[in-house]
Amino acid sequence: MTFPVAYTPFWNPLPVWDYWYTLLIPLSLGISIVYKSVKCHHMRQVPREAAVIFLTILIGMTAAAAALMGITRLLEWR
Amino acid sequence: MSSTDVDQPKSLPPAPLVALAAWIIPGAGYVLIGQVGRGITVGVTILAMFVAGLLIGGIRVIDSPWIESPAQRAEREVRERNGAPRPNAVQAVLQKPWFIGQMLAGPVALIANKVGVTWERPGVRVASADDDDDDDDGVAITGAGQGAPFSHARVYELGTLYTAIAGMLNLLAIIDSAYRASNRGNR
Repeated sequence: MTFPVAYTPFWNPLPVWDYWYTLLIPLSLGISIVYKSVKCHHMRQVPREAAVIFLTILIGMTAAAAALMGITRLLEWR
Repeated sequence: MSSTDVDQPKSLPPAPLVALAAWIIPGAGYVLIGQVGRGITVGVTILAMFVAGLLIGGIRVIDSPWIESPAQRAEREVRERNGAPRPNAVQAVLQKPWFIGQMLAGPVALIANKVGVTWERPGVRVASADDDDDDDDGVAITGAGQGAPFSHARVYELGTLYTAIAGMLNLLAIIDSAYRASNRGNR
């Protein structure tokens, strides 16, 4: 028998079944910040550089997702 | 003023010590060579990503080939008694390759793994013979001696991704801070 319990952080996974893909946004932001913190000569360059690479990642992922969805739809249609 | 041209210690610690500090506490390697701002930014971001991964997928997204819950150990011992070969170290790691990335985030991964396999909440989620766990709550049923439950599907993948990427980014920071330590704080 399973007893329903309230959500407990770290014990239960986060209930994000319907919008899990939005969690890729903070992941991309974290990668951008760390990568540019390592790469930039001066830390004052980091916010701008990280914002640029963050937007590039987001646009790239969105374009890739749209292209793959288009191909899938095309294959389904044919 | 930037973190590269201020607060530079006169003599920097040796690169292996910086690398070790950077593994133990993400960002500490930069702090040791005097780049405090860079160290705090890198360390806080990496640890936040690691904790976010545990929060998203549950603590059992950290799944070491060597740290087992009592139930996992008992199950393995039964398999071995029945003639199943025990995998060597390389085979064990290859069965759970994402742990390599997670471990690079530092001892926090090992601590999280140990907490996950020993965390018990008796009587809260108990498996029985007629429970087929076909609900769609993303969490597997657990029982006594099994530790915290494993999540599954997307949340497990995302939790693993967050924690493994946090470790891989820490590897980047370890290499960079050690190199800077051997190059008078410069890249």
